[in-house]
Amino acid sequence: MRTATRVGGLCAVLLLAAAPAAARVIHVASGKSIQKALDQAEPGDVVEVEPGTYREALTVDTPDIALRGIVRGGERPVLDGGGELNDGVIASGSPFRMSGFRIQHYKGNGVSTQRVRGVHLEDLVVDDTGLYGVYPIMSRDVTVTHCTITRIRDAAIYVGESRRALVAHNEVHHNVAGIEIENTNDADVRDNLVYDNTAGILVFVLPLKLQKQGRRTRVHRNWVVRNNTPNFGDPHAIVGRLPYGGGILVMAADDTVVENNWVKDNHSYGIGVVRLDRRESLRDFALEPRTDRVRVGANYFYRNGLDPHPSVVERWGRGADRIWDGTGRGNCFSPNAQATSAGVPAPACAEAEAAPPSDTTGWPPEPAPAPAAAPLAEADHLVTIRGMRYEPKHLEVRLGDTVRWLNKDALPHTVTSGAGREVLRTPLDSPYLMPGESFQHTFPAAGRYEYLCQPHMDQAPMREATVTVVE
Amino acid sequence: MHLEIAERPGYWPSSVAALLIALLLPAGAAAGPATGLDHPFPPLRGEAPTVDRVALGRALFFDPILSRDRDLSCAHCHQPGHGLADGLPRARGRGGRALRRNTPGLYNVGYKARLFWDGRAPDLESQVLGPLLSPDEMAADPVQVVERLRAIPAYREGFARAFPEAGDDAVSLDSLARALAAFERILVSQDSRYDRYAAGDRSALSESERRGLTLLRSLNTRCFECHPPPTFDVPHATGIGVPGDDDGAGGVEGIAERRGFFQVPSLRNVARTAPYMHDGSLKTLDEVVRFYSHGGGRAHGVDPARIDDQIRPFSLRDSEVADLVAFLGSLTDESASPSVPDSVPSGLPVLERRPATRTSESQP
Repeated sequence: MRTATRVGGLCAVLLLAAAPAAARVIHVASGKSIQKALDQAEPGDVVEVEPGTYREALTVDTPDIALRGIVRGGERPVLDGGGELNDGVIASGSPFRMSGFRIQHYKGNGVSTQRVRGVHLEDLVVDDTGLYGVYPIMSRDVTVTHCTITRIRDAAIYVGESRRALVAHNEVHHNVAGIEIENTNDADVRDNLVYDNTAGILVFVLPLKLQKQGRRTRVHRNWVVRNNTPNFGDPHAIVGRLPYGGGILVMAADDTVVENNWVKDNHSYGIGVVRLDRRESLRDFALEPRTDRVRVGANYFYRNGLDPHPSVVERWGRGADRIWDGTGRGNCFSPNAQATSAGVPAPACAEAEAAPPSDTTGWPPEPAPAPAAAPLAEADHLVTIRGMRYEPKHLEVRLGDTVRWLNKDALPHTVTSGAGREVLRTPLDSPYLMPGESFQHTFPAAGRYEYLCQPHMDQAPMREATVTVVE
Repeated sequence: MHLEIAERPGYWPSSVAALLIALLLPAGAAAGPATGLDHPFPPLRGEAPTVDRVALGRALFFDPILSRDRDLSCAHCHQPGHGLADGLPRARGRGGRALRRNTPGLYNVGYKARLFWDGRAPDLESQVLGPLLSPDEMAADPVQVVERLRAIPAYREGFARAFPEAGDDAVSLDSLARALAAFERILVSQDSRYDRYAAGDRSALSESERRGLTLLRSLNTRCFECHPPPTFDVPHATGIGVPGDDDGAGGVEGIAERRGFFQVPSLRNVARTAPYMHDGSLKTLDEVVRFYSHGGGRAHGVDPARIDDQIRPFSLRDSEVADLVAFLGSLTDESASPSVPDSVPSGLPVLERRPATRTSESQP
């Protein structure tokens, strides 16, 4: 009986706790503190702000807050950092909604949401807020719509290490990068006006992030025009090294679809598909640096690549509507007789190819699956690299046989011809084999082939390994 | 003999079990709704610690019998009074010799993906053998140390109880490592004033500390990108450009592009573990914040290839630096600090001052 009473009492307490309080609207008059209102707000409340100028840096740690700027007769509330404050808004509470503000003159960023589920940023005007305009990171179910963002030294709209994001109907111009989707899965970037930036739309996977992959971004129906502004970002940062004249660039992100965009007058390239460069990828060997299964469908190209940045000329010979570096697997470009191309001609997309299915699994994301190894049947012999040794270290094969080396270590290795500790590089010269990657070679001539691992040849098991080829 | 160890207070403290239970319960009642910062820790890595292994590990942790010269225990460098570090720029090893790197604190070490500054150990069990067997540190001989432990009845009993499945082989180097790892896994720190703020107690942080928390999450400082809540670290190594020729992770991996990279340490209890950086070269948190504000090693002529892309110069007012440092102080929680036992099964002195070289500042 006593127990029953206790349980009943506990239930009552839980019910009380769970009962939603009536959502309130907290009104902030011009000249009052928005942060004070936010500190009083409880989950479900709306903080409504009158037009006026507010010199504040806001934090929103309470869940389920809507911060709504009242737009009246063309006037809206202005968050002004005066060039001194760091960030307009930092939010951790889930979900978070914000609309109707102008945000200007901050040192770091306009609006950042960090690990928020449900981010809705709508009708924000953001100008000159430092490195980023809006910056949802490690968030999910993000929408950024009807925002106008200008004069940002990195990306106007950045979505990083997140999943499921809609970036639509925004206007971004005079930024270094217009829209950047980074290490993010299932982003939908559409119907945006992206012009006069250094580079228009970036779909990237970069090293040393918690989320190691970015997949299934769809970039479509965007107007990506005249992104020729000289780069004014930090020249030491990756973004500061982007050449001007870039339309849409996909780097190391997989299963990206780029179609039905209007890509015009970008002086270096219209759409580029490249791998992450070796130096960057070696900084984080949990990351898969190639760009795979990108589908560049039907896009409208016009006069891209006609006045390219010198670095583009140096690398590709010229600018073009479409550039592919020839790396990665399963990439394709829809045939387009009008479009110019540079780099390696890409395979044509099969018309019937369906878009990859959307992912519905939860956070945190699964670690990137190890790259699927080619079936052993293609090679006649397998050497496994495991625990800092080649297994077997000495192998005898027949003339014309193919040998495959598979790296099962958590470190990169190479298979490189050598004698003792001397690196010879011929005939065996593999790239860095990342964990799970393999390399194969067919031996057309008889003889004894000695090889080593370049970074680890100081360890005896990783040098003086041999393949002996007999008639 | 069988009972002796159990009867000695300190070896098998019931407080250990109480602590384990306390971990399962939520922190103190919050005054308001939980904030968006109230994220659970990830699961503990590795073997779940058992009470018997933790108790054995605790005795071993404080027992100098593990070192060749019987004068150094784990606790000599990981002192309860110093945030489980040693307060020195660089650790001192066997006979007081100077080592290369700063002693890391041990709080929340059970959540770490890789151990050592250079990340060369994938789990605590392999990590503990490093200092134990290193000729410059405890310099234990792997056979001798097991023989020594086996000769002490209290340890025979303790190992048998902690590793019953091992039968007659309970005392082994492997069990030693697992017991120490079990002990280290319960050295958690998750109930700081920051945690109470995150759980909804708005009064847990001062105004200055709250401003500091906002600065930590700013895109101007970008601290949070490598030190995000709740662990305030990330499970990988990166480069910030502390001057020097220590190649860190890149050195052990043989990857030139990762030279100068070190595992990102957690900020929890950071106010207790001065001095800072892998080489202990920065004395105070104020110096650390200013180091970052100058772009890390970029201001010291360090090769930019050794420095993370996100480490950039930023400007803060002096009052903002003070706010940030104040916030770091709110991450202190040493409630799991192990009490120093009065004695250990070997009968050797516990945490006795080492030879003069250790404390003398006049050494060249």
